[in-house]
Amino acid sequence: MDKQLQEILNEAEVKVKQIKDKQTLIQVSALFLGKNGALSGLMKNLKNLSNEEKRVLGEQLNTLRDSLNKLFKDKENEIDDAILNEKLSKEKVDVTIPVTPSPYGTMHPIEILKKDLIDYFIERGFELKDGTDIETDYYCFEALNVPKEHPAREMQDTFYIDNETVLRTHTSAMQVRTMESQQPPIKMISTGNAYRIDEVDATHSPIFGQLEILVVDKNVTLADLIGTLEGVVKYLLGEKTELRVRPSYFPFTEPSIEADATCPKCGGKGCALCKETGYIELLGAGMVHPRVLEMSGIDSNIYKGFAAGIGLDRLAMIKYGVSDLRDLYENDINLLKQFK
Amino acid sequence: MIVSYKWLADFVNLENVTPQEVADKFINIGFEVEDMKDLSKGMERVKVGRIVKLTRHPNADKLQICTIDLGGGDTVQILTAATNVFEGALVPAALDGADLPNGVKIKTTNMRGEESQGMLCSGEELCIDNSVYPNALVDGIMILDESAKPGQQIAEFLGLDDVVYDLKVLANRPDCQSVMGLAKELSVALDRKFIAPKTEFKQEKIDLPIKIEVETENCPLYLGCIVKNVKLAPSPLWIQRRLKLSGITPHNNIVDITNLVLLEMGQPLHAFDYDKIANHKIIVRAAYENEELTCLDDQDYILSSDITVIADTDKALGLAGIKGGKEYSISNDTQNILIESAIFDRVNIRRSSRKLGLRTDASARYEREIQPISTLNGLNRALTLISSLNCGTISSDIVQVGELKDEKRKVSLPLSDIKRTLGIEIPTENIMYILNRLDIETTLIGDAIDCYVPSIRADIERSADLIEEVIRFYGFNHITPTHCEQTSSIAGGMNTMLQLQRNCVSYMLATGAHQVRTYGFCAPTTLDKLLIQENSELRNYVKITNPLSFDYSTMRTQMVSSLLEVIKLNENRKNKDTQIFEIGKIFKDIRDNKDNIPCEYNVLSYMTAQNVDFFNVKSITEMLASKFGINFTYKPSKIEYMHPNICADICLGNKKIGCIGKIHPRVLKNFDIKHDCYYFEINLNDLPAKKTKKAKPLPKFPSSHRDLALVVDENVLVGGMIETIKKTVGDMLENIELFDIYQGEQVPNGYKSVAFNLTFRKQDATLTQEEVNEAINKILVRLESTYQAKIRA
Repeated sequence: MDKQLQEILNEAEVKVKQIKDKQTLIQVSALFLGKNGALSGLMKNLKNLSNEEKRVLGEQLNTLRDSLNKLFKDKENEIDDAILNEKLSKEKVDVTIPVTPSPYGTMHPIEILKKDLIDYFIERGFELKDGTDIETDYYCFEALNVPKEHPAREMQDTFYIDNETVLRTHTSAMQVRTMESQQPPIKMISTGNAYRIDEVDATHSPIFGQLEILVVDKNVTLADLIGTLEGVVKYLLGEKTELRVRPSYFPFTEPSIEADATCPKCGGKGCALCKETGYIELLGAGMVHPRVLEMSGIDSNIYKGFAAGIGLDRLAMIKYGVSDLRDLYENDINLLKQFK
Repeated sequence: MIVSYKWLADFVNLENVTPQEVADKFINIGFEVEDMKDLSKGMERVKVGRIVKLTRHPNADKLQICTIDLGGGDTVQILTAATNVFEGALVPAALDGADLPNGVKIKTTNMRGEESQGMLCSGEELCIDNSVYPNALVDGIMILDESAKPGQQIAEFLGLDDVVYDLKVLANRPDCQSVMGLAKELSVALDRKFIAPKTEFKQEKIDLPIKIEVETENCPLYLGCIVKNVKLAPSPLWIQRRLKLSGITPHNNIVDITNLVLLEMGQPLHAFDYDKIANHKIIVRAAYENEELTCLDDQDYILSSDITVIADTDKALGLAGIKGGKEYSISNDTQNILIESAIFDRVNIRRSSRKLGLRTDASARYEREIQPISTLNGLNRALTLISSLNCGTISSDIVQVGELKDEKRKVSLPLSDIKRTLGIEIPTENIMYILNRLDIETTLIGDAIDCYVPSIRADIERSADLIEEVIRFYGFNHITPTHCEQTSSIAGGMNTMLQLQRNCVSYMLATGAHQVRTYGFCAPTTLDKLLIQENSELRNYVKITNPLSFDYSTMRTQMVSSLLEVIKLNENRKNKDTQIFEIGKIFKDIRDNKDNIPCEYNVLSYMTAQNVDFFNVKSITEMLASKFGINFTYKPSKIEYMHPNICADICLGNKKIGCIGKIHPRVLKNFDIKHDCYYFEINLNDLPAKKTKKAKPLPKFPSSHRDLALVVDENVLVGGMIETIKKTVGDMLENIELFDIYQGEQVPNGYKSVAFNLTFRKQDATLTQEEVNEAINKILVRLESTYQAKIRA
């Protein structure tokens, strides 16, 4: 570079070094890069030179301008950093000071269980149907092969609204409503409250949650029912849980079964929770009675179905270690808070 | 149904089968064991002993030293303080290691220099009373009669060497409401022979006439038999013990035999005093209206014509199928009896029993239906016992009215149906074997088995019923679980209501509220506590005809009371800052659907007893609206249970879908709540389903902002002003926000200043200043004419 130009750059470097604030930086930068600054003075002289000289000096001037620009830009960044650091050093927080959080609310344990079950079945391609708590005698009983005066009506003490209207004793009422409204394949679950005349005590409640499962198709078997139940029981109570299937009787299924799970507390050895039996009663299920299929307009020669009803309250008690059912309906915040 | 191990062993050989194995078998074939009790528990180390020598204790005045012979040459020395012992007495001796029924553990001890190798027992210590053994409760040691053998287990001597099961018999198996029915099932489960009781009795021609007339269709079959010269006496101990197992008090041999047959075979029988039957004529008929009858329970019953009675030509003798009358029952001077074995209509018995509030062992069995063949079997069994126990002379003439049907029912079982139902193959010979063991005759024809089912198994009507029988005994453990691999797929998924509810729950949890679950029952007086007016639609509640209690006698029409109860409970327990929500149902007796059932609504309700104000709560409903993608409007409203000036209807368009406000202090007082509460509810059924949204293009032209501060009367509603502004400007107004409300020095008394921030935009061009000014002017003119609003200086 031309000696004169090098001197300009050296001069600028010396001046910039001394700058402490932005205002001065702008002033100094104007001395070199401004309209009347050193650089523009030299640029003006270019026009008096030969083409060859113009080219050589022009290049050198461009290099000088780039160097000056960089010099001032670097200084500007340096000053900005200093300002920011100064600001940051003054902003202090004692991160150890305790705060009053606004915590998340909690779901009711029975609702958690219901949600988990719904998720499980939805993921397996089931659809969810809603039913009503108040049902006709027809859907709650007659269409499920329980005509009036049937001895099985004794099994479920029913709240009546009038002769033809009841508080549903089971979510099974949704079976027939579903089958009447669509032909197979059906893979349905329904949850909600069911009602039976039971005095409130540590293990009974006149209102309780239930989950209904119904599958109707050409190739549905009892083995499918048992496999499905085994899966859901392991999902709810753990991989080691085993299912015990016993014959039972429900007028709307044939064969009917009752399924017990090995006690999650003692693993089947016997404890207070399972009354020393090693098993806890979980649910009733079975192959949909051919008469129920027929009454719903489904050809029982072509289609088979399975159905199951799971009581949620008792399961919630077992799963969440609540020993008195009344606690689940009392809604003491201190209990609810625990189910985060 | 109560059965005992030894009783079952009368009908099936239980050699090498433990009581626990019996219980397990019953569970496996569908009879739940509700209770299992070993009667000899605690008596394992208690034996019959004879006191062969009795001497005074040298160092203790009150003790005697007994040398006890335990048979087989064994003797022990036991000390006792009891004074009723004597040389030669047979007594229960608890030996070293005994763990008695009352919890006392026995060990060999030394008492003042003399060894005692056990303890002589009182009845109390063995936990038995006089009903198990006469004089069990004497003061002192229980002295046994001479039939006891030294060395014999005391439980065996007392008839307590037995295990009692309480089995749950489900409604489809009336045939198993009997020891014999259950023993039959057990014999198939164990694959052992069923030993039917013998029918064997002597009959004689008897000169006692009897005529039976059935005037009602509620008695399809009636069998009667006369027994002459009955010798009434206490029944043998084994009968008495078996009756007591089921809680039946023994009376005399005849009555006890009828009760035993009821338990053993499930057939109710009744014995009438023959000589008291007027004209020796039995009439089965409908009772007369208001006919009176005193039954064996000493209760007077007033009857009606839907109840069936057994009568003579004068009056009713007993309630058919339920209970006998007192007057015609067997007494000490009874000479001759008529034994009745009949069938009564199950529905008629059920209704009568309900109506009279009288449920008996007999009615319980009739309610579930009894088959004709059981009537004959039951009578024969009773006559066999009468004969073998020498209770009287049996007439050779059994009177029968009605048909004794005992036909086998043909049911076809297609073999393919088994695989299709169960998902496994079962060898045909196994199927036939199981069915045959159940007395079902089988013929294999092609790919189906023709089954001939005995009449007693009325529950087997179609192939599904037969398949259940097969798998019950073949065992569910043979089924390999599968997972619906063969079924077709459907769309599946949640429905809109569940989506909506889940959105609500997730947002409500974020506010810090806890989800509760309350009963949908409600006392009608709760509405009074909520100050609800007489003509309010909330009084259109659904009544339960048979409620548990007054508090649970109607279905709730609102949820506010449920949440108030929860707040109260938590306040009583000193829980602070209770903030709760519930998604539950309310019910109204509006029947506008095809099923004619009351309407139900899913409602989200929220209540807080925190130190908050109306706007904190409104911000929750606003956030919900935003989550649902809709806009709520709030209209000042009067709701009885809310503060008169802090209450609004929440509306969607013009439809009211909920309410929000502060609970009326008087209502809080009625619920005994001290803290202020805010409440809102939203009827979820009225919310629109969230639709899949299509993206709108982003605006191409800039917006323009203006602030507007206005002074209006303090009673002017801000919501109204906003609506007016929106209507005045139309589409050009993109957004309006309230940013300040001020009342104070710079505003005249009774007025307030309201400031808005307005955003204008056109979709197709850049707005000019003139257009915006024009819009502002229009707004000012409209607000002035509507609300006398003045621009704030």
